[in-house]
Amino acid sequence: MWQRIWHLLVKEFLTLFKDARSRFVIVAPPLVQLLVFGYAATFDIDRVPYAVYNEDQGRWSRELLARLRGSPVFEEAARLDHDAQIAPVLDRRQVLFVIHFGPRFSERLARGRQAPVQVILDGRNSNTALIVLGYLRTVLADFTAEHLHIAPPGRPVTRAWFNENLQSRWFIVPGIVALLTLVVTMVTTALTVAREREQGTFDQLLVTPIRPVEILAGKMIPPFVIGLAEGSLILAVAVHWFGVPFRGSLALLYAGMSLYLLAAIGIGLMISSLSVTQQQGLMGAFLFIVPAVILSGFATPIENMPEAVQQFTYLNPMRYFLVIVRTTFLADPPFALLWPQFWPMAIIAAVTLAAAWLFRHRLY
Amino acid sequence: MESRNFLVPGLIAVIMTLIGALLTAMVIAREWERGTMEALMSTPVTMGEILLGKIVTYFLLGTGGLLLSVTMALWLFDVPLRGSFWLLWLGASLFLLTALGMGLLISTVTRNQFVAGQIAIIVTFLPAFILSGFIFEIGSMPTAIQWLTHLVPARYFVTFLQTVFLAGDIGAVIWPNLAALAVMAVLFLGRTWQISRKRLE
Repeated sequence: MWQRIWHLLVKEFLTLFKDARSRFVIVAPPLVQLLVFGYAATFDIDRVPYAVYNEDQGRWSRELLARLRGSPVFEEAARLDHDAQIAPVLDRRQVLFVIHFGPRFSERLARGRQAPVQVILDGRNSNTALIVLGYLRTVLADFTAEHLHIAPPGRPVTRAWFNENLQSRWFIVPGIVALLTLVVTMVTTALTVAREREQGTFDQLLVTPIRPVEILAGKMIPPFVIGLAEGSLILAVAVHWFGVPFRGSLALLYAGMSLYLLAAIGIGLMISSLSVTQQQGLMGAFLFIVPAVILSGFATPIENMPEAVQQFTYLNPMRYFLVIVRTTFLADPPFALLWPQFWPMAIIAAVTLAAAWLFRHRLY
Repeated sequence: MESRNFLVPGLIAVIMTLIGALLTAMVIAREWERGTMEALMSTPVTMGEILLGKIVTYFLLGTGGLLLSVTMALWLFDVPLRGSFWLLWLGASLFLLTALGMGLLISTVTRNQFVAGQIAIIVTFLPAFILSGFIFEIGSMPTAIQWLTHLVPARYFVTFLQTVFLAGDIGAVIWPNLAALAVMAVLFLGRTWQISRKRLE
């Protein structure tokens, strides 16, 4: 039996790697994508362009503007001198917000009265707008505290654990590890059975003495090996190139990755055995990958999704692996803490692989 | 400020990429793999007509997908549509043609469904998801990566969609993005036609 599986493995690896282009698309793009996305994917915001509409002649508005200019977060892009100019610069996305001081801003402050500052934000990307608003509030609070000697009544003293400087890259790059391994394994598995079916070689395999379980093993192991190799490479880049600290146990991460890969392979093989053509296989893989990525917590937290959708995410292996990869990177969790992430992936893998095996008799 | 209003238009771009580029990436390669391309060539049908047949079919399919997504965005998710529907349709059609062009080009160049499928996922879905400004702000990316985003058609479409849905018909945002999409569509489709004609001779 082992010999037959071995021969199948040789054949599977050959079909994947004998063609130079196929070899290339399996190995090179994930690395390039990690590098590009590692830099592109950030929730940190800097060089936010803004416009100033200052009707005030006094010193306080100038002081406040100097603070904005001194911050790397903001970048003055325009000065307005008319009400009517506000809408066009926002509409055209030249600036993300307009800060407006009324004509009596400094005068009111000098008399110790309230002096409102108007901020008009582009809310098209509400997420960015809220972050910018948060930054602006801090600048304003610091300004009031320092120049006018009015200390705010309460002042939180904060310290972030695990990601001490709160860099979003430390949060996102480990997530990309999960994203890319999913895409690579799904694409290599989802087309394999469909391709054999389309070319008619699956029928030939079925009439050989090789048993369906052995065919399944032969289809499973190559993507698993490729996934592990690719995953390790991506991990190395995350740690050594992007400098994300790895504080947890490598054994725990690899245990999680193995289960994750098995679950992804199971889903891929199930899709592949259900489809008759490669076009269907690719479509199926895509129809799984898109919701899986969006509902995984990769970019938007699962807790913010509607209750019904949250229930749905329990079927998604990426959801569990994301927690494992993120916590093993930044914290050093004991196994017991991660156990709730392990067993659901094992169940998904078992169910989908069994389903892929059940479809062995589907010939058309 | 609801993030849903911002994300739903982005999702429309991802769905259109799916229909446009992914399905078509397989169609020409499949004909070559199965040997039916030679059969088609022996008929009086010209290469341009074969391509046109593929484009029209998937274009109609994509338009159906668009109508469905827009309907859901408007009535299920209550995203406001402040611009005009016809402009939205024009932009979506241009983007669809670009995506179709990408898919057909991949398919024509590779002639192999497996490789075509891999390339299609790599160059369409992930860039549309991460480099289009759909989730991550382009302005905060390093300059080199910002340049790179100009090669991603979804970038123009996402900007266009967000403006048409949430801000309205603002010419200064809409026309440059539509022009970029039109140029890309012509480039991809033109190149596909060029390569397929050369193969024929």
